[in-house]
Amino acid sequence: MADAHALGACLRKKVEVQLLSRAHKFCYYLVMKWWLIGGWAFLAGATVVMAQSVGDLYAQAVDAGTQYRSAYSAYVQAKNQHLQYNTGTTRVEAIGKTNAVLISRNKWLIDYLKYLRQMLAEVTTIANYPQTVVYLGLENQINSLSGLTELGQGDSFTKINAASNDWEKRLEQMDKLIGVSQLQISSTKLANFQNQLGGYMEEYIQNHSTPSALPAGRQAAQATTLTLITDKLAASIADRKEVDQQLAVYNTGYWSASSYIQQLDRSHQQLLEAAKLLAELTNQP
Amino acid sequence: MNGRRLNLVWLILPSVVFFLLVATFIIKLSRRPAISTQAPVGSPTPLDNPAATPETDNGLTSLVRQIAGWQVNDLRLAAPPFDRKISLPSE
Repeated sequence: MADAHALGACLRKKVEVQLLSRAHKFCYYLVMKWWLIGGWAFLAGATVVMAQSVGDLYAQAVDAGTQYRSAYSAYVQAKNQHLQYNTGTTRVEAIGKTNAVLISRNKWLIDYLKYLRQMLAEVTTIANYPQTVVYLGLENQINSLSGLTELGQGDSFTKINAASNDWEKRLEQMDKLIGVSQLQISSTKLANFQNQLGGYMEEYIQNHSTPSALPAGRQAAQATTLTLITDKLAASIADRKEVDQQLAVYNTGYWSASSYIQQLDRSHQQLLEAAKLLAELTNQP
Repeated sequence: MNGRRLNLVWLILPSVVFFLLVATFIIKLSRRPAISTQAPVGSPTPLDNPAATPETDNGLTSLVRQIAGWQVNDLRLAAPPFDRKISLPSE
């Protein structure tokens, strides 16, 4: 009986030692292999970022926009109530709701910039210097806005207004950056379309280089249409390239996104007309 | 022995997580709706309607459709148009 007790105690001790040893080794690995753990964590984090598609980020930005709208309504209501009743309760309520809307507004802008950054990366593949500058600009703004931890912590109207004003000072530069990003995305998409149409045009010219049995009048009409298509495509490319040149120097002086949007619109119209004409020409028997 | 087991845990577990994430990413990409040049199922084909002139649905026709369907100021790029200025009255 005594032997059995001693054996039991011995086994328990052995198990305890083993457990202690395992826990000890686990802690040792946590400390000593920090680089391995950190490396894997970084890799996993990078994969998660990569796995976030434009669609996901767009949905996030829309969601953040909805939250901002609702926080904004609550802030307007609380502010009006305070203006009307001016009591301690309405003051606290106004402070709380305004802090909340400042956080929502910041989050909405961060999410929107993240979406824009991903879109820019996917569409343009950051192929040249101006695109790199804009991409890094977006990155800096996202990091800077994400670092505003004191936002929404104000306990008085003065502090809240100061924090809000500081944030709003960024908007002018931010709008410019957003405008440039949008134009770079649009311009690259347009350039892709132009290249594709150029390819189809070359193919058509090669296929029709040999003398055809068509009547002379028909051949002349085809040649005229082809010249028209070439002119429209050239005009479209020239308009788009002009915008590209302006995008490269956007931060060196006065810059108006709306006039370049109009120019890209014109380029798009010319391209569409050229594409339609070429499709008609190709589909002719 | 324990050390080896721990080594294996640190190597295998994160690898599994990593490959799962990569697989998710690939599945996501493959499920993206591609722009189809085919007529939708059930739509009248030239055989259903012999009077209709069959248009050659080649790459160029698809390109024309893509250009026509695209806009410079794409709505997906537009920021929500609402007031961004926030302030409280002075106390």
